[in-house]
Amino acid sequence: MAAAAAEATIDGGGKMIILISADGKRFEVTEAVASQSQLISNMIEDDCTENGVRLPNVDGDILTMVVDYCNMHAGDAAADGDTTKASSTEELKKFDAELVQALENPVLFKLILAANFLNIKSLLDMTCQRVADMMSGKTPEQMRETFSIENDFTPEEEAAIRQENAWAFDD
Amino acid sequence: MEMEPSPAPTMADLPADLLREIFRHLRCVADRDAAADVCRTWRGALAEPTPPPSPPRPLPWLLLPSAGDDFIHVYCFYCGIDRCSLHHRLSPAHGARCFGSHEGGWLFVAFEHNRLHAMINLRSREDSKSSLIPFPDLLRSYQDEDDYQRAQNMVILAAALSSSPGGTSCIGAGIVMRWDLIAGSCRLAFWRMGDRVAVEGTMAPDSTVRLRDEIQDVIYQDGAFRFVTTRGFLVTCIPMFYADGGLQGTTESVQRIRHRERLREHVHARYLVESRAKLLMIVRFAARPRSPTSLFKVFEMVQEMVQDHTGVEKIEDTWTELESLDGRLFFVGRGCSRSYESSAYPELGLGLKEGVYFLDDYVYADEGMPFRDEGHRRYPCSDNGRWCDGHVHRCFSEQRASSAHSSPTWLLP
Repeated sequence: MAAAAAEATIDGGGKMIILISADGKRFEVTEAVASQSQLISNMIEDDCTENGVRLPNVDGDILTMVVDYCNMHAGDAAADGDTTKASSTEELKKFDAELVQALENPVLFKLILAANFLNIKSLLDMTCQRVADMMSGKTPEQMRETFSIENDFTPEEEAAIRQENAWAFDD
Repeated sequence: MEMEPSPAPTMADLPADLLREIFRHLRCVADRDAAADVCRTWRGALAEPTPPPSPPRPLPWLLLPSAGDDFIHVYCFYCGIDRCSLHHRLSPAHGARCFGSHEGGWLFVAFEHNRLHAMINLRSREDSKSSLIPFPDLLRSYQDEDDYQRAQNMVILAAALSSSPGGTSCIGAGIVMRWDLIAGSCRLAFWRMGDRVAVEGTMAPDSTVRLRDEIQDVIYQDGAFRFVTTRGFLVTCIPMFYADGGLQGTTESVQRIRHRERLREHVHARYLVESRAKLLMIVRFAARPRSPTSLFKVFEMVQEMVQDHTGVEKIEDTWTELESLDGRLFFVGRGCSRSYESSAYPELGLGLKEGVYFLDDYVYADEGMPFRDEGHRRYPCSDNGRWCDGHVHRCFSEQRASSAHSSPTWLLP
């Protein structure tokens, strides 16, 4: 028999799964919600979620966001007619936009790493798009400032870059 | 075995595959080029081929003359054209008249408005010779050897190229006006890259196309230049060469193509565009000659079996109106109309749907405009937008009244 927590159900939905963050925070979610992570979905199939799923790469504050995201998007994947969870497309877009817009760079990168580790493609796409959007319309120097990147080209390489084709813009 | 929260990661902590994943979402070619100049790691990641699915052809950029200064402002759909975000300003074309574009960042310009025609590559070194290819400013007629006319100054209003301009075989075809015959009409002109003088097409004097039937658009399609006239004639021109390689002229054929247009409204413009290996004609209507665009119709050329007056059956080209755009985006502009499949650009989401995207080229109908003084030139720049489902949407929010230098144009990056 599985642990009591893992066997609990809500609203007649699927089994519950416990996710445990790197700093020991515990999150109880339905299988449908957790399955948006391909990693966890595979673990469910392999029947190795009974004692909770330890996620040593994901901090609690990041896992909170991931779980929020998965709860919001559970309606996308679930085709079981559970309309209470299904959110409207507009609500989802608003939620997604607010989730990534407000993030500081380090949190955004942590979220990308978590989405990649947990293999949640839609969240990975959304967070990578956010970073790409932050690059948009910037000069190389502005990009370095935005992402705290050091210019590691040698003077010779810099000179070579200046000899290359570049867009003739006046910024 | 609880762990401390991990230290704050930076961009540099992202593994290479995630960096590549981020760059996969960076679709604007100008942004990708800028990112490649940031550091060695980024340069290396961007140098690698993009993982499948391979990126679609970049969408055109919108070049809009600025009201406040003489700069051309550049907008890119990936960078939020609907949000009116200024992408870049274009310095080489400062004060120039733009009249079209070709793939690879080539912009057709007249530096001194009605002379010094050229195409410039906006993606090249400033000191590079290959970044500017002059177009001819002169036109000579070839139709009658005995009446060989002295070359005349011309203004190019629109142009199309037969191939990428790098090769020697590239031919340009233009819709032009002669300085000495401003009130005449548009003419066809052809040139090789580097030619100082263009050769005039005859427009088959014995044909049913009359001089007053203005040339509306030009496209290179299926091995020939094709021009469409105001009344819907299609002129097909194939360049002919002298033994020494010089451009002699063109062979021409004129077709009156059947179509049912129901012309209750004023035909503002006709555009030719190739889509799904077919030739399309997109007709732009307005309620009255000077009122804003109100309607588009899209016709596809199909072969139809028809009976001639003796009852003999033969195959004839006809324009058949398309019921729907079927998920396509048409960007229309003289000489540079292009078709794109919306399914190839999922990341653009709701911001960029199927439709006909058009720019203000009303000035094309005002044949005297290129010959006016700067103080009296007004290129309207406000009739821009997208047409879809029977409605015109004014989607480029930064509308400008007019420019003394140029109409808006598309740039094909």
